[in-house]
Amino acid sequence: MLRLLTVLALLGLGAGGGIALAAVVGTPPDKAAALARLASVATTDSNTEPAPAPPSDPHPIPGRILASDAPAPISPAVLEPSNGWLVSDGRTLVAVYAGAAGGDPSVGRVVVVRQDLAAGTQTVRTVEPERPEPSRSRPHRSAPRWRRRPRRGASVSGRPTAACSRSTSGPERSAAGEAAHLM
Amino acid sequence: MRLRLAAIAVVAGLGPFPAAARAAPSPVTAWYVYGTNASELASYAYARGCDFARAQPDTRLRLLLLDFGAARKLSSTTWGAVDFSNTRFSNADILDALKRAADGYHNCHARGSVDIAYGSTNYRMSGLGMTASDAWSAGWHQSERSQNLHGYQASHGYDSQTSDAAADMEPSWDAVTITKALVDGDEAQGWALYFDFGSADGCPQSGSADGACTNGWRVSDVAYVSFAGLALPLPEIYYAANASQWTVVRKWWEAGEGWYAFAGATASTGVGLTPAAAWNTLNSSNSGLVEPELACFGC
Repeated sequence: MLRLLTVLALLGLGAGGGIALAAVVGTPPDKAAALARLASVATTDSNTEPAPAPPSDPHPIPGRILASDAPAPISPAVLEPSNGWLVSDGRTLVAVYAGAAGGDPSVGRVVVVRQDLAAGTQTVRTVEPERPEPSRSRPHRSAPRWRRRPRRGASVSGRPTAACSRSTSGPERSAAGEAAHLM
Repeated sequence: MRLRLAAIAVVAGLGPFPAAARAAPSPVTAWYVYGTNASELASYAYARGCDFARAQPDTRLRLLLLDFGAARKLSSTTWGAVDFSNTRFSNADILDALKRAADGYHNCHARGSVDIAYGSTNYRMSGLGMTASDAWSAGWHQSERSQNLHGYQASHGYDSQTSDAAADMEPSWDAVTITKALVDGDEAQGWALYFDFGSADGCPQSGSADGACTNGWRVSDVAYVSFAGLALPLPEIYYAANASQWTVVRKWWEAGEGWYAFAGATASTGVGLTPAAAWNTLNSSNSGLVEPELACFGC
């Protein structure tokens, strides 16, 4: 990371010219010290003892619709969210954001963030409802949004995207039987 | 400019920067943080640090970006963030989690080195009552906590680690002035590089003029939050248009302010460009000016 920038910073600082020389060669002077710090990072630790690990204590998150003021991590270039839904059993976390495609409010879109906390992996999927045939199309389709709280006991295996991908209206039921209402 | 950079690199013994021939770096995972309480946040961060070390693809310094959510003023004297589960965490909680991420990386370290970044966003700060002064303090304390983390890393012999800060600054999410205050606060504190992993949403895709972007922003504003002070651009490149917008930002800065380069790119799965294509697309329009870093949400 930052090889190019760091070289410039090192030239400026290492040559004894300090910030002034760094500025001459193009490195913004404000950044010179921080970039030089990056160049000094080793690839091994002098401490060879393991650190104590915190207790692994899974904390499930009951399925819930996220409050309207909850931050959504999805870029507006991808999604203008209407709302979101979150669930976790402590091992797998799924957050589903429903709304309109970034840049085209006529296109409904759902983005699914899935974190496998045991395996240490995260996926982000974008799902758009199938567009209707032109002869049956309406001029404007509203973006989907979660309409009501998912059924009590909804689990991360419920895969609400299965419902989202089929339709943007009415209550839907996933393969696992979970009620996932989009409208 | 490119010849000058190449000459400098030769002097430094690194050879020229054959940017056109450089392949995209292997992506490293960046995380959206969903927590429930402080202890769970700590164990979550420990696991992410360990995961990152185990999966580190090369021996270079790579960025572990933990996005703790929207910067917030929690009380008259307390700053922190509200994460993506809508849980509020103080900076003390976040620092403790960052320390556990450092522990996790250390315990699972196999190769290379890491820059652990305290990430936040400019999501609706003013809408929840924060002023520009509050945002300035949020940026200041974000850098302070990053420096605190570095103190922890150094005191524990974690020589393969360092620390910085980052923010997903999206024009759509809040106004120019309050977002610039995040960058200014970080700069005033003086420790942390401030990686902007946000967008140039709505900005023009060609030229070098100070054109209009979304939400009253202009190209010059995006340039400011991405390169002023300690800021460095690690832009979201999800579609080819994003690379074009950021090229305009770079050209605008170069026309009036001086040299500009990208710290790498931020990518995602589930969007128009694959992570590798995202980096390559940005690099193709800014050859030699994109560092080999590729933070990826969803990889």
